Amino acid sequence: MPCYRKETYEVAKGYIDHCIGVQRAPPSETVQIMCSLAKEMEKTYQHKLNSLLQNFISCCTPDYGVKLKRVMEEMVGDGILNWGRIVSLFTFTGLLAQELHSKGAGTDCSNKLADTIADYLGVEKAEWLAQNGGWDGFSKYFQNSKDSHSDSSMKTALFAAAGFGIAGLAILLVR
Amino acid sequence: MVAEVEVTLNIDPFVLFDRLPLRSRIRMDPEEDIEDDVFHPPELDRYPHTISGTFRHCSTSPRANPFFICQRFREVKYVDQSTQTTSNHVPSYSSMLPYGVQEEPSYLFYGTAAHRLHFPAHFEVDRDGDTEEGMAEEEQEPGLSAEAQIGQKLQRIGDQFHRDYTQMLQQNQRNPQPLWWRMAVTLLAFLFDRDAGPNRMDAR
Repeated sequence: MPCYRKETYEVAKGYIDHCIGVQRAPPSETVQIMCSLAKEMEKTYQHKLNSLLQNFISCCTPDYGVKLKRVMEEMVGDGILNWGRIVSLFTFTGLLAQELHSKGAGTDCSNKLADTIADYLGVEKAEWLAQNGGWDGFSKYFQNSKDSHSDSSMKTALFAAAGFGIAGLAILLVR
Repeated sequence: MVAEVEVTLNIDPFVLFDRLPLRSRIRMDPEEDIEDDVFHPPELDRYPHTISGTFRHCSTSPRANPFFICQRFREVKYVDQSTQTTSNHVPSYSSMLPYGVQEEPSYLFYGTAAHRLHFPAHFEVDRDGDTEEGMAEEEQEPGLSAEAQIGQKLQRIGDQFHRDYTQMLQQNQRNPQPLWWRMAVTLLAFLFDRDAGPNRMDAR
């Protein structure tokens, strides 16, 4: 049976560290992609995520690890998992870590959150991760969609510039 | 075979009025408008305001009282003539509708249902706003723990995000660099045409 606990922990820890600003080593490519996606999601769903966060913190149990696990279980309660859901989970956890850090929580708290994610995704959902190429599959999936988008816009810009240049030259030569 | 299509539209009557062709606006008699203030189901057939096409029987009276608006639209029915035997019944066809499509009057709004029409129509999808409204309703759901609600909402956000990226990926795969390709082709065509022009003239 595949196990992605270590990789998942590294991604989760790297992302949470980036969120609370205690990053020491340069982040891996996966963490960088996750940060960029989470930022995009935060921007789009800012109000909703903040409201969810307040709701989460105001719950009676102070054990955030246990609560986060329940949230994850509910998130995949319909038996479906996709990269979008994983990004939403990371985004939410990042916001939670930021909030707890600002309230004076130590790194133990952020480590526990990373552990919870690693235990759930890396062990319980390891099969799904294996089927989808693991964290490399995550990077490829979002890299491809982003690259093809940016590639086409870059090529368009380059060709537009080159086109105008050639057209100008051609007109000068013809005259 | 009869296929019925019900069309429900939420249109601000003021916007509708502004977008009408001038011809249609002129045909809106002010006196008739005032008479149409209150909804009179059978009598209204005597006061049709011809607007155009499907909105043929739409009567509005925003000036008199915007809160008492009766809007009527025709229900469009498609009748497949090829599968029917001939009969004496001659359907009344509108010149604005294709052959085989019948019109049947029906009321879009009854009673005070048009009260909502004075609200501005928001067609833009504000995901964050939408979800916030929905969330306020969902927060009151009994029996669901806070974690369960948060999990479900994260699920929805994640699914939407995933859909957006999948669509982006599919679009890019389906349509690889169409703009730059078209631009390059146009540019080459332009250059070769210009170069070929004088040569052709010389050849003649």
